[in-house]
Amino acid sequence: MIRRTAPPDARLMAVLIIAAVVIGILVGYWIYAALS
Amino acid sequence: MDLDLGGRRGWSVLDLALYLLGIVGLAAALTIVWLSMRAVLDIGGYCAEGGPYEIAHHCPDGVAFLLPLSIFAGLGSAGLMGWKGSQLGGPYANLVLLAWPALFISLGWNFLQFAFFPPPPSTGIELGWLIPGILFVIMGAVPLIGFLPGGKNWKSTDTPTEPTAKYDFMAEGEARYQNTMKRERSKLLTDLVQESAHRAAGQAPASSAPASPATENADVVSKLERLSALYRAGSLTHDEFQAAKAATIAEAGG
Repeated sequence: MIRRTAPPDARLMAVLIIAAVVIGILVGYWIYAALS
Repeated sequence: MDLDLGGRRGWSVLDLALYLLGIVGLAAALTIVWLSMRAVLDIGGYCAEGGPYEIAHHCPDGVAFLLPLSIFAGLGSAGLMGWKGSQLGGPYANLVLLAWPALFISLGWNFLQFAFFPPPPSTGIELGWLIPGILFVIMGAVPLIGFLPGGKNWKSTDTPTEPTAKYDFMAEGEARYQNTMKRERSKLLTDLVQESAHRAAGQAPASSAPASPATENADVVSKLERLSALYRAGSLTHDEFQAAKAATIAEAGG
C-alpha cells in the first residue's frame, strides 16, 4: 500500500471529518433507539 | 498538549479510513452517553439495575448496558483517532482532544436544560442540577482555548521543533583540553624565549638554579614530552616543534 508522508489536504479532511461526525451522531441515535 | 502516538512513518488510505472510523465511533459513543443521561434525568437523575436489592428506581431500558459500553467504545475510538491522526501528521491527532469539550459541554447542556425545565412533579430551578451544569460547561470550555484560531492545538504535531539546549559534555571537554594545551604552549614558548635571551646575554636562565645532572636530564625529558604532546595535539606546527626540540636539546647539551 502506498504510504504518503505529506499530511492530507486540509479542505478534503475538513469535509471528511464533518461527514464522519454527522454519521457518528446518526449511528449513535440508531444504536440507542435499537437497544433501549 | 501534543499527541504523537505513532510517530511519522507516513500514512496510507487504510490509516485515513481508520482515523475516520475513530471519529464515527467517538461521535456515536458521545451521542449514546448524551441520550442515556437524558433518559436517566427524565426519571429523576438516578437509577439502578442488578444485584440482590429491591430497586426503587429502575433504569430506562438498555441504559444500564449502553452507558458503560459507550464509555469504553468512546475511549477505544479516541485512541484509534489519536493513533491514526499522528500518522496522518498535521493537526489531526490533536483533534481527538475535542472529545473532552464535546463530552462535558453536551452533558452540561443536559444538566442546565433539566435544571431550568425539570420533569414533573418538580417545578422552578433545580439547584442540584444547575451547579453541575455550570461546572461541566466550564470544564468543557476551558480546553477550547487551545483550539481558538492560532491556538497551540492547530499546530502540526510533526513540525520539527527547535532542538532543546542540551549541555554538551563533549564540546565542554574539548574546549577545556584546547585551553590547557594553549596555556602549555604559551608557557613553553615563553620559557624557551627567556632561555634564549639569557643564553644570548651569556647568563644562566633565571629558573635554573644549580642542579644536579640527574635533575637536568629529568627536566629535559619532561620538556621534550610536553613538546611532543603539544605537537601530537596539533598545538605546535612541525617547524615550531622541530625548533623547540632542537633548542631544548641544545640547551641540555650546552
